[in-house]
Amino acid sequence: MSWAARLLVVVIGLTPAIGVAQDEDPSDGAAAGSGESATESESEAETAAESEAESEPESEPESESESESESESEAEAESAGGTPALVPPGGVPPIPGVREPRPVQAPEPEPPPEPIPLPRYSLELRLGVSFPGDFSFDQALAALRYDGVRAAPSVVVGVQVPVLDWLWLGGRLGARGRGWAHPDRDPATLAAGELLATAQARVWLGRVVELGVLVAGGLGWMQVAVRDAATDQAVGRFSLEAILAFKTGPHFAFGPRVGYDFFEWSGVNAYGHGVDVGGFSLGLALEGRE
Amino acid sequence: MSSRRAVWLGVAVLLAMIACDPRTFPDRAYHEEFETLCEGTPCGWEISRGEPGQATWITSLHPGEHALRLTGDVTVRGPGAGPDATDVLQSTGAIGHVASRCDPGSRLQVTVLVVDRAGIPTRTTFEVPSGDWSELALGLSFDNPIVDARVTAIVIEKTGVGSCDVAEIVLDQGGVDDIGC
Repeated sequence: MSWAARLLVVVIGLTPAIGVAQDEDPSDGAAAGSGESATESESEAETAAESEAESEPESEPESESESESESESEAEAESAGGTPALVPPGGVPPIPGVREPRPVQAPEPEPPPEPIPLPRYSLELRLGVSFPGDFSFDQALAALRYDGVRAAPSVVVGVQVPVLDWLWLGGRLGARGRGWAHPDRDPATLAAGELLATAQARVWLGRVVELGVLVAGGLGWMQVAVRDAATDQAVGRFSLEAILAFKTGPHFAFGPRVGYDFFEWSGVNAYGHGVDVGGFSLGLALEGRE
Repeated sequence: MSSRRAVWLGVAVLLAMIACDPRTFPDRAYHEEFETLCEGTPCGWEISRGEPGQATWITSLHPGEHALRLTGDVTVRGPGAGPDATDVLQSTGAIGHVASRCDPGSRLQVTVLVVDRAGIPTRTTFEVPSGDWSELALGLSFDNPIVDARVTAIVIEKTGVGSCDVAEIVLDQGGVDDIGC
């Protein structure tokens, strides 16, 4: 046998001894030095894992705190020198019938609603129509072949100032009129104006819809013109109105109005006839607020 | 109905609306409003029976409207239609309108005197009910048949207590359902 063949036989013969020497890590000197204690801790951990695996299917689903404490104990065991071989790569596989713990996010509390800003004042333009009653002056004019229209268009401008969250005070200036057509001559006309003090109670239904009630009282003025003559009179005036308003922005609102207007003139002539330019009223109001 | 027929029908209705003036209907044969004064009294009116204070000119419903007030037992006679009146009355279709009021217990009677195309005079008389201002509209029935008759005079007789105010007398020829074109 040549010297090369003898060397190959020696190398082959020494290879297992070199592998055993390499398996013993010199950094684990303590563990290597206490080989029995390490083996004991491994066997204890295996026993605990087995007991947990046996007890889990019978027990109730774990709570989040229990799972957290379990993971913490595992981490402590690892830091205390436990072998990571107890947890397979990729974590512990899900156990059938046990709910996976989910991260819980507490709902964010809704911010408190911002208070509806109260404007300093509100300007109002109201277009409407009232339906006067059939009074004795209407009947007398009908005897003279005047044909009255039982509707009185009106226009009102007003201003209101909030004195409380729900109470507005202000005033109104308005005009309205009606007529009686005649087949042979110019129609008879009634023109009226009004100056009223107003009080409104308003509530907000959300941030868009408002409901309210308006009470108004003051003075009215009527003028009845027939042919080329006119006569006029100051009269008392009263209104009650329901308000529905829709806010269309920070400065505007509009909505319908329904109410009753007391606007009568008793004693238009020597016969004591009365005439009306009020009655049940409908309107549409536009408000500008600042 | 085809669309072309509908278009022509619409055009015809529009032409009729333009051509037919409802204000020309009915034919006006007589109209007294008591709005013009001649020497303090309604022009052409005179007292046939009673004292001057029993027939007065007053403001009625409004300063723009006036009337003849008759108090107590009094009879007044007014002018006819005048030579400029173009419309005439016939035996049928003549309608009278009176706007008046009377106190309870009063009685108001109106007589219309006419002369027809042949020059034959005739008349019709009707009574106005008492009460507040109202319009009386009734068909006129003349004592004799007339053709193209013109109003020559109006006589108003007031009897009973209280007063009556007469604001307007209108005599028309034609039915209310007619359309003047």
